[in-house]
Order: sequence, then C-alpha cells, then structure tokens
Amino acid sequence: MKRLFLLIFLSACFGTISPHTKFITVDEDTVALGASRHRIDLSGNSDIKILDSAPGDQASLSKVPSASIKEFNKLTLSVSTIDEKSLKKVNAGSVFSALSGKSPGLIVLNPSGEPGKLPSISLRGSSQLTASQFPLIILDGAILEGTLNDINADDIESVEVMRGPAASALYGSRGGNGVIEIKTLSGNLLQEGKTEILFRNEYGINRAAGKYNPAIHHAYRLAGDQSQFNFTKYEGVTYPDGYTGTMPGFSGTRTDEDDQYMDNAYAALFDHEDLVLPGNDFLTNYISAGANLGKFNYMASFENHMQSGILSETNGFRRNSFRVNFDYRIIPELTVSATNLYVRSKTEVPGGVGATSSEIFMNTLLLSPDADITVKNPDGQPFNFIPDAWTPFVINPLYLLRKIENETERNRFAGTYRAKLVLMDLLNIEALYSFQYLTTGKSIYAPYDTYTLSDSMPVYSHGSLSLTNSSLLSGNAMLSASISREFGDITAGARLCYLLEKMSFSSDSRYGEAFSRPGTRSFDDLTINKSEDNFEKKINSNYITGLFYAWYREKYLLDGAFCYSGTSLSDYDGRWHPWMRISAAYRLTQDFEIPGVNEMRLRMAFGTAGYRPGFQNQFEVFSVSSGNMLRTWMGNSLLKPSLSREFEAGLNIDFLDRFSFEIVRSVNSTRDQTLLMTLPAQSGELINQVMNSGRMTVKSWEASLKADVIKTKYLDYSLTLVVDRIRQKITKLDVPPFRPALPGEQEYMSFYFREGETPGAMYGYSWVRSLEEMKNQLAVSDLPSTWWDDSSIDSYVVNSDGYVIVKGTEGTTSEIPVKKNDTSGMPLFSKIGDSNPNFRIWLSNSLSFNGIGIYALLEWKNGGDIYNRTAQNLAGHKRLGMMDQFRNPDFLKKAIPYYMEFYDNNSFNDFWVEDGSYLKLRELALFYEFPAPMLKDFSKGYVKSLKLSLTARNIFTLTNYSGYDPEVLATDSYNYYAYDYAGYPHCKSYSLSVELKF
Amino acid sequence: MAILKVKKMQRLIGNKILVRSIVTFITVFLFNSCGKTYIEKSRDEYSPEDVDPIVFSVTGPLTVYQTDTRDYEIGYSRAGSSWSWSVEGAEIAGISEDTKRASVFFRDKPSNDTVYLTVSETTSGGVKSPDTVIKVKVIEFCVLEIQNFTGLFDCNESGYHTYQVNFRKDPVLSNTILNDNFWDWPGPGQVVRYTLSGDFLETVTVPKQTFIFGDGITGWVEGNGTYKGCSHTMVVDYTVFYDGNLYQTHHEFSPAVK
Repeated sequence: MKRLFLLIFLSACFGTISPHTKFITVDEDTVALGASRHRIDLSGNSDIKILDSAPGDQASLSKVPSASIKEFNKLTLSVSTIDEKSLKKVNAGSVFSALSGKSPGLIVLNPSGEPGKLPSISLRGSSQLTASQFPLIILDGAILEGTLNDINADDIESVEVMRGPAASALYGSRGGNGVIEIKTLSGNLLQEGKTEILFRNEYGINRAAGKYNPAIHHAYRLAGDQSQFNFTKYEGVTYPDGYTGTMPGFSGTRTDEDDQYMDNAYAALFDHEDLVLPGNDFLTNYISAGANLGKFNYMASFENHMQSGILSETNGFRRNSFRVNFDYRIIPELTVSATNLYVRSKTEVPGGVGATSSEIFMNTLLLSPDADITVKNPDGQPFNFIPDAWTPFVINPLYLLRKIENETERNRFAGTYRAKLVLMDLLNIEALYSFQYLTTGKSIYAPYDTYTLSDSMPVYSHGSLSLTNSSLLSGNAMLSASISREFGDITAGARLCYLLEKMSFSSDSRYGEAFSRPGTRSFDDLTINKSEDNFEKKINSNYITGLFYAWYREKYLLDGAFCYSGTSLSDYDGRWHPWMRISAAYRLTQDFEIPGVNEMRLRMAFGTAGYRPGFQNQFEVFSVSSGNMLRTWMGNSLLKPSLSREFEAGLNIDFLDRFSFEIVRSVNSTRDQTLLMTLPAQSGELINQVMNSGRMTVKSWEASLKADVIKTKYLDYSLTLVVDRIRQKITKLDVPPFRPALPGEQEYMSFYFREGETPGAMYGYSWVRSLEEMKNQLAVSDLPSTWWDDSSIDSYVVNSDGYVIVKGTEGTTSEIPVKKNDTSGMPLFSKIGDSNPNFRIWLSNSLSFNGIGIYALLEWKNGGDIYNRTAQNLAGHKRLGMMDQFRNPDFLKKAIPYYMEFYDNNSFNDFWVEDGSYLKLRELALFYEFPAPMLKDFSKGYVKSLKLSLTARNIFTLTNYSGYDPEVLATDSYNYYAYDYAGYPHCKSYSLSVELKF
Repeated sequence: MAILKVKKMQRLIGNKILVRSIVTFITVFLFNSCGKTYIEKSRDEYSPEDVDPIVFSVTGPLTVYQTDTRDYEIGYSRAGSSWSWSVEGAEIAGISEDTKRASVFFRDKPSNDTVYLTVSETTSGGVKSPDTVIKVKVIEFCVLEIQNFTGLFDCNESGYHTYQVNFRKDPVLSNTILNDNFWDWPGPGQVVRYTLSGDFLETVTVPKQTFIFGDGITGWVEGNGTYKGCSHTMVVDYTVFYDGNLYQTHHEFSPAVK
C-alpha cells in the first residue's frame, strides 16, 4: 500500500501551487520522510501531517532510503526545476551562466566575454518583436528589479523555469516571456542540530576564446633598401632622418603593386590582439555558515567575486555580497522567515566610450601589424595615441583603455520577510513583504590631457565628465491563502492571493566638456557643453490571482489559474486585464501497464500572459532645442500589455527505471506588440508613437532525456540531453514593413520586419554563384562590358571561391564578382540569411568514481546565420585575414579589388553571412571529493568534506564561423539577430576551486 | 528471479540503445560542425587547371613608325602566369624577366603595312590562353639625312608662285639648313635658318630671326612645319614682319626638278 501526499511550496503570491507541487508516494514501511524544505510527520503511519517549511522533530530525509521515495512533479505544465546539485556541478560566476543546457526551451546566450555583462536569456524563443525577451525573475518570492548580476550562484538552492505563458499565466502582464524563480539557501536544509560552515575559494585565468588574425601582409610597393630598416619602408615615400616607424613626418604616398596581392611582408609584426587582450584572472571567495537549531535556522554567507576579463588596463567586475536568511517557528503552526541581501559591485567598462562604439576592439584589428602600440606619446603619456601614421583614424586601444574611465558602482539592499500560518492542516495563510533598494552611480571621465583628433592631428581634448546617479526602490506586499483537501478519490486545493507591487526610480545625469585646468575631476571645472537631465518614474501594479487544482486517483490532474492585474504603465483605458490558464494531465500508466515504462503522462495546457509597455510610452515627450519646445513623441493612452496565448501539449515517459524523457510542443501567439511607429505626416510635428500592433507566433518543439546510465555504490554516470527547435514568424503586422531600429543605426539595417517573415531574417544584396543564375540575368546585366560579350554566358566562369566572374579575370585586379540583379537590371535586395538556428542540443555528462568526478556540457547549435560586420569592415580597411595572400597558392590568389567589391561600401550582402553552427564544450570539470574516513582521521572530525575542482569553460568550439565566437546576438531585445560587430571577445577560462565544509 | 532477469535485460537493452544514441549524436555533432564554408568547399573542388586565362589587356602603341622599337606590356597580373610573345613582320627585341613586357623592333617592316603581335598566357596550372593578336600599323619613316634637304628646292609660296631656293647645311648646328632665297627677296647675304627635328615627329622649326629684305628693310621671320624624311619635302608656315606689318606665309618645298 502506498500513500500519496501533497507538498505545497509556497513562495510568493506568484509562486504557483501547481509547478511547485510534488506528489510523493511513500512506501508503507517508511517511518519518516522529509523533503528539501518541508517535512512530513508520519507518526502513526495513518495520520500524515504536513509541516510546511517548519523545522520539526522528525527524522530527516537522509535517514530515509532513497529507494523508498518516488517523487514526481506535477506535469500539467512545462516547468523545469534545477536543483543545487545540478547548478553547482560547475562553479559559475553568475547563476544565469549555470542555467545553460539545464532546461529545454531555455536559451542562454553570452554575446561577449565582458565581465559583469548579463547573458541574454529567452524562454521558447522570442515572443516580443522589439521589446526585451528577458523573462521575469523572481528571487525568494519577490519580483527582482534592476540588474541581475547581483545574484551570487553559490547562494542558490534551486531555480525553477516556467517556460511559456501557459506556465507563467499567474504572472499576468509580466509573464509573457516566461518566468525564472530563484530560491536562495536557508538553514532548514541542514539536519536538525547541525551547524555547517562552508569555504569555497576559486581562482582562475581567462584567455580570449579565439583570435581574429587579421592580415599580416600588404600590397604596397616596398623601397629597394627596405632590408636595411626596422620599419616598413615604402617606395615613393621620403622619410626624415632617424625615422623609427612610430611617428609622422614622412612625405609622399605609398602605392599598391600592380598585382595588388597582399603578400608583402611588414618589417615588424606585433600581435595586437595579444597586447590588448592578454587575459586576466578571476577569483571567488565564498564563506557560508548555517545552522538548524530546530525552531530556528539560519544561513549567512559572504562572497567576494572578482572577474577581470581579458582586457589590458581594465579591472572588469567586482562584487561583494552578504546574505543572511533565517526561519523561526514561533509555534508549530506559525513560521516567520527572512532573507536579507546586501551587494556592492563595481564594473569598469573598457575604454570608456569605446565600449559602446566597439572602438577598442575594432581598432585592435584595424591597426597595421607593424604598429608598435606600446611606445609612449611625445608628452610622456603611456601608449602613443596614434600608433600608425598611415592610419591616423585608428586610435591606440591601449591608450583608450588606460586613459578613459567608465565605472559603474551599485549598492543593493534587498529583503524578503514572510509569515506563514498553517491552520487546521488545511489552510495556509502567508503574508510577504519584500523590498529592494538599488543605487547606481556611473561616471565616464576623460582627463584634461586626453588626446583627441583635430584635423587629423592629436591635440588635448581638455577632457569631459559624465555622471549619472540613480536609485530604485521597489516593494512587493502579498497576502495569500491556500487550502487543500481530499474528497474520497479526489484531492483538490485552491489559493487566492493579492499582491501590490510598487516601484519608483529616479536618476540625474550631468555632462560637460573641457576642464579649465589639468588634474581636476570636478563638474564645476567644466567649461562647455554642460547639460543636466533628470528622470523619475513610479509604477504601481496590483495582482489578484487565484488557482485551483484537482486530481483523481493519481490519474487525472487538472489545474487552473487566473490573474487579474492592473498597472499604471497603461492609462485608464487599458489598465486592467485578465489572464488565465487551464491545464490537465493524464497518467496512462495508472490504467495501462506498458513493459519497461514506469510512468507515462500526457498533458495539455492553454494559458495567457503579457508584456507591459514601457513607462514613457503613454506620455507625450517634448524636446527643447534653442529655447523651442517640440513634441517628438505622441503619447498613447490606449496602450495595453501585449497578449500571449500559448497552447502546449507534452508527453513525459519514465522508462527502464533510469530514463526520463519529455517532449513538448508549444504554439505561442503574441498579439498587440508594443511597437514604435513613425506617424504619417498629417499628424504635424508628432513623429513617433508606440502602438499595440502586430502579432508574433512562436512554435517550438522541446525534448529532454535524462538517464542514470550507471548507478552503483562506486560508479555513477548520468547524462542529460536537451533539444529544442523554435520557429517564429511575424504573422500579422498592421503597419508597413520596417527595420527594427531608427534610421542611421546601421547595425540593424539588414534586418526587416514584415508580415510573414521570420524575425532574424537578413536582407541585402547577393552575388551570383552559378552560371545557371548568371544566365537568368544576362539580358539585364548592367556590367560595364569592354572586351567581353556581356550577353553571352560563355563570357563568365565560376571562380575558385564559387562566385561568377568574367572569364579570364581570375586572380587579376579585374576579377569582380557579379551582383544578382532583379528583372529591371537593378541590384536585387532580398533575403540573404536567417539568424534562427534549426535546432539546439545540449548534452551534459556526469561521471563519478570513488570520489573522482568529471562533468562535461556540450552545446550544439545547428544552423543560424551570422552577419559578420566585423569582417566586412576589416575588408574595407584591407585588414581582413582572408585577404592575406601570402600563403595562398598562385591559382587561389585574389587581388584587393575583388574583396573590395564584396565590401561594397559596407552595404549588406551575402558574402558576409556566415553559418553560425557550432559545437561547444561549454563546461568541463574534474573534481575530487576526499573520502570521509580520510578526512575524519586527518581533521579529527572537524572537516566534513573537502572537494577540489578543476574547471574549464568554453575551451573548445568547433565552428566554421570566422569571428571570435559564433555565440552572437545584437541586443537583448533583438536577440534573434546575429549581428557581429567587434564586441568584447568571448573568454575561455580555467580555474581551481577548493571547497571545505566544517 | 524472473523479474531480475527482465530488469537485467532491460538494462542491457537500455545500455545498447544509449551507447548507440550517444555515439550517433556525437558523430552527427562532429560531422555537422566540421563542415566547410562555401568558399572552402569551392576551393577544395578547384584546381590550378581550372583557371581559364584570357589575355584581356595589353598596353602599347597600335601605330608605330618604321625603325621604331616599342614596348608592349600585359596590363594585368595573374600569379604564376607567364606570357609568350611572337610577332610577324617585326622582331622581338627583348622580353622582361616576368615575361609581361616585350620590346618589338619594327625596322625591317615595309612601310604602311601591319604587324601582327601575338601573345598568349600560360597559367601556373599549365593552361594556355587563346592567342591574342594585336594589329600594329607601321607608318613609313626614314631617318633624317640632312644632306637630302640641301641643294635646290622648288618653293611653292601660297598667293605668289613657285620659285627656287637653295638650302645648305648650317656649318655649326646639326640638322639645320639655311635658305638663301626666302620670300624670293632676300637682302644681300641674308638666309633663313630651319631646324629639323630628326625624330618620328619630323617637325621643322624656324626660330625667330632678323631678316633684311631685298629693299633693305629689316624685319623678322618665324615659323614651323613638318618635313618628310623619305620624300625630302617640307611644309612651313611663317609669320613675317615687314615694314611695320605682319604677314602669314605658307611654303611647300620639294626637291627641284633637275
């Protein structure tokens, strides 16, 4: 005989009963049972009492043979739970990095290796057209505001991922992108009466994950006596006496050799990537102390985290966090608990303004290989401002890194306070209050003697200073009541909850230029272009939520939820909206015995959730210029949250005692997107307005397979395979096709929004790749023919790169690829690529033998194009590695004009579209846990465990992509646009970690 | 016992399926990720013999003079290629080391005829281009021999009549002759000096010079024109200053019929 019990994880108002609910069957002979946070009193065997979150006198879970517990999550919805053990297989600086590959449908993209930079996270693709795809983050039951970098991975107990609107319907207008709920550690995880102290120290090094390797040969004519000089001496140029190659002063012009092959050597070679990106170290010191004293338990921790990245002259990211969590059971039915967090962090952005303009990284690649960037300036400042007089527009990246400071300092206080009352074993009442207070100070400082260019000559800029201070205060207040009861074969429960969410934010920014004297950093000393901005916003939201569940004989599971939420982000007309979910599951194996199948469950769900418009979208925006006030944005009082409707169906099978398989099909349609539109001219001076328009449909397949391949006393091997395939399309757009950014933002100009199109589709020009294609456009060719017959296909051949050229020109300066034309003879502007991958697969392997363990996480992204703007820009400056002909055999050599045609003055064309497929060994960890008897003998019982870990991250990537790394995206909002333009290169890292428990 | 056997069997089946699945996955992983780019694939399939050459640009004059030596040069570069030159009706005087430039000597060609210069390219893969034939027109040209412009010449003066003049070599200046009957009205001992260029341009220059006319009035004369080294003829246009007035005069010289 087995008994079925219900554990209710009550987190916050939002904390769905259903996803957190666990059904546990207990063998009859089991005398006690505990589950992570919750304990169950089995005294008497027939009267089972749930003591939710209350440390009691019962025996602990560790005393219960694991074989006697069969636990299965409620599976009417797609919710992945990632426990502490899974999260900490590899030590991660950020909890989000640790999530990669842990849940189907969860895409964690690290667009760069920049310290302190958040990865882009999306659940089941991108349901927002232009808004952020970032899911809602709930930390210890409260909505997390501000940056998420303050979350320290060591403090995490578990993460739950609610993958789609159906799962996150209770989050109403904030649940459209899915929800990630994070719980931090508390003392009640410890055995009662036990105190535990944990030290973890990790030290590691970062290195650039790849190199661009620009060209190291040129096509210029060299002087006949070049061999007598240490600098590259060009023909036709007169050099002053004593010239060393690092200063201007020469006269004349260097010219290309006739063949224009970049195969001539520079007199000196410097590896600028090594100099600018030498690699740095990182460090984590973590200590936690916790105790379970029965009625009272606590967990306190301190973390010192330093991540220096790989850039020279930049400190990167620093974080100190201090946490105290405790629970106190005042009486058996009443428990109060609190989590308190203080975090202080500091981020240095590389090279000040260079970080946003990619100047640092682009310049590193644009520098001539013979430019020595380590020599001093004439005024004695380190790192010559213009290291190569031939390219005076390329500022030394080391100079920018050293000279310009761009720092952001944050302080965060956060607390969650909760009281929980259990009445008559049926009714739970919970009250929660949480707050977050976040202050941010950002400064960008260029000293007085910072060089700038004036008429191509370096002069002192006299400096500039930008200061921005902001503060954010948010609070959540919640009251909920939940009840559960059995009615014969039916177990049912419900919850009602009210949540008030308040958030206020204010910032002031000041900017000015030209200090009156050297050595000062005061805003008052600035003399020109001074400006000051203030911003303030307040957002209030209310949520009334309810849910119910019922299940019949462990076989039929039904779950429903509603949320009625209102937010001040919408004006009165669109303020309040209802959201709902209904889901059900059928456990087939309760009716049918299938050989080898332990559990089979079919489930379906339908739900709605939304995404709120931005704060300023409902207001008119004015700009003031020269004393004139001009309305630039029209407010929209009708704005409402976007509406996502998701239907999902899933199948879960546990088989052969050690396999667990899940497959889910989801279709999500999000309408009423918040889009920025330019209004027709008749609206006068009002030019922009945010409207509800357009619909995006996302269809996904998700599958996962978990297998305990080997499970013996000494040897364990398990693997997890996660697969997803996501297709997204703009199914309706009530406005003309547009590009997803304002004109002039060149980086996005290759991406189009149009009805029927996939977001992430790239548009541009393309090149003829076969004679068949060429035949079709002979009649409309606009090629300037001179000596060949442009109307005859015999005049064309396909060259060694696979592009159609005029016959006979291969390898010469006349070799020009042919652009595809439309029927009118004009260059054809059409779809040239698609950033969306065919599918992604993660394979994690965990093997342990006698205390020695190894863990590896492989990620395979199949398909998905990347627009390599970095390479295109390098081609335009004759710096692209592909253009280096030194090692090419004669028959493959190409001249500069050939590549210049592909460069095409930076217009988007398919030559720069590359396959972004990759296979990445994302994590590899080797660890050793010292045997307990050895530790006992050695430490006389003080040391409970000692674990050594060697961890490598991103050490191996197999890809055809020619950039630093194929993990590319444009921005968080446009994370489906793989656009690569000289960002902070990805890092690979190696670290050693020592973990001691007392 | 039976249950144990079934479970063991299930495990074995499970292991086999699992191992095969893992191997398959990893193979597919690697295979898929090890593919080549479009350019790499194209290059792999390309061989030196696939380069299809055409001599599409040669620089050099299409009209030359007899006896001239002129350079003809390939107007493009292609790594590893060499060029072969041949000529019909002239001779190749030399070929540069990189074979891109040929010097052609046209001395032996009869005048007003055409020379056919042929060039072809052979690539590093051994592929030879079709011959490119350049037609060069050879213009008659005789090296100046100044004595051919001395002695009696008929001078046909526009608006006047034909009269005879006597040219003699300037005793000092080379390629220079002296006309002793300018305007058919020279003062005593007066001559006009003509300098012949002696090159393919075959130009005549009459530098500005003082001239005393038959009535004793002093004026000056200046002019230029052309000559023909082969026919020994000369055409000159002058500006003549006489008695306060400027006059334009045209002379056509040809050897006097003896």
